[in-house]
Amino acid sequence: MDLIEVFGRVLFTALVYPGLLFLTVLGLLSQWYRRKLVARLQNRVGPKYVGPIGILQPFADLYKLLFVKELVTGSYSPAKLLVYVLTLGIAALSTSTIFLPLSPFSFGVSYDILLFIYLTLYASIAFAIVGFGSVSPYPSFGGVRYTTMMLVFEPAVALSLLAMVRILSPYSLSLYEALGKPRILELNQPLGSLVQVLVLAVAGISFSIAVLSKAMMKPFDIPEAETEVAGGYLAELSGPALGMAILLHEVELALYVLVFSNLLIPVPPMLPDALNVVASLVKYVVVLTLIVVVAYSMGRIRLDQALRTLFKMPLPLSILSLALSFLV
Amino acid sequence: MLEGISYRRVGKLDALTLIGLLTAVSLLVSLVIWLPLATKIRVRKTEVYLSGEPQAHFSIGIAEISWAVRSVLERLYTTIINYVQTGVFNDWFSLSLPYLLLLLVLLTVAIVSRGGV
Repeated sequence: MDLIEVFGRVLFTALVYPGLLFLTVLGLLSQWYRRKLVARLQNRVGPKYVGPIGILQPFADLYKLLFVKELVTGSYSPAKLLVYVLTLGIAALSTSTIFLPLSPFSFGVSYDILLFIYLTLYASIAFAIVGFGSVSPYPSFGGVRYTTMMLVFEPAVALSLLAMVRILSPYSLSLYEALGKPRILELNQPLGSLVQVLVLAVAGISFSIAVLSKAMMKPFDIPEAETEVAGGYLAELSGPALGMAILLHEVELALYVLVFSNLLIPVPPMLPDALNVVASLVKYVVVLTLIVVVAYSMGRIRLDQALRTLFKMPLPLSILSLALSFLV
Repeated sequence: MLEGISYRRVGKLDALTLIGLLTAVSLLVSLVIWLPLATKIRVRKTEVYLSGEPQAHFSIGIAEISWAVRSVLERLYTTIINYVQTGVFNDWFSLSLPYLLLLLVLLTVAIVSRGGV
């Protein structure tokens, strides 16, 4: 393939499938599912009015925020650049889907997991910029809280991803290969397959806790604590900026859970044909349900408690899983 | 399915070109989303939301930014300080000896696994 062909493939993938369009639809449908599930847990009804059983409510909310509401702000200048910062985060996440073998246009290279981590990191940076870019104290506190947690959850996310990819694609360290053609050890190699299961389990626990803090879900929703810092980094956002922040959050969560669920349960592999795509999405829904039920059964903790938890659980576990992955 | 385009075929591109290409596509996609939206965005300037308090009451210093990290690392710091800063060199040496031995073991394993120096 020459450079032009690679560029065309990456651009199509990033814009349409499984990039921007797919991730937006998946993220918003997941938001509806999450809201409905949490509502059931809390004995409420949840989204109800737009579309059948309220399924189009997140789409209607996003449309209204992006195209109807005005951007009211006192602390960002120029305000339109704020929307661009968030848009760049969504674009970087969309581009990183080139390494997901969901489309025949996707491809992988050796060590592409490092490129995936590089591209997905920008979403966290965008949230931090939104927090620190404001002169209002509430977003600043949100930014401080987020970047403090980031010191621990980013290494934990990266190391557990590396461990899972290392055990499923040991020779090329390729996310594309780990998802599409994972190396599952046979049962006649009992020690090797035991280590493989152990690495996936340990990295899975580490990754799921780290992703809760990265996605600012309970009990790690400290950067957007409404009762303490008036919504934190969201306090000064409205209209299109708020819409983009919500979309970035949903797209980030959808992408991480999609990758994580398919690495954790590597069979059947993620492939571009309809049956395997449906299987990948079923795994996604199962893991998302588990994460949401566990997250929303807890209350918010303090920042120092969150840091202590992150230091004690996901960070050592991710280091351990990476070390174990070298045994096979 | 994966045979359609294997990672080895794309592997001819060098890493820097691929990083540049992916970054360029990210920028392009962000402009494709942002430019049509930016023409429609209406901005209304207001006062900063401060819950009715004067702005002078709010400022974030460096000490406040790092309080959580300090509070978490405080116990470790205190333990090390109490253990090491006793004025006796042997106390520091006995603390660092296990780490030095671990480094020595790792070095030996590395050398042996590579088949000698």
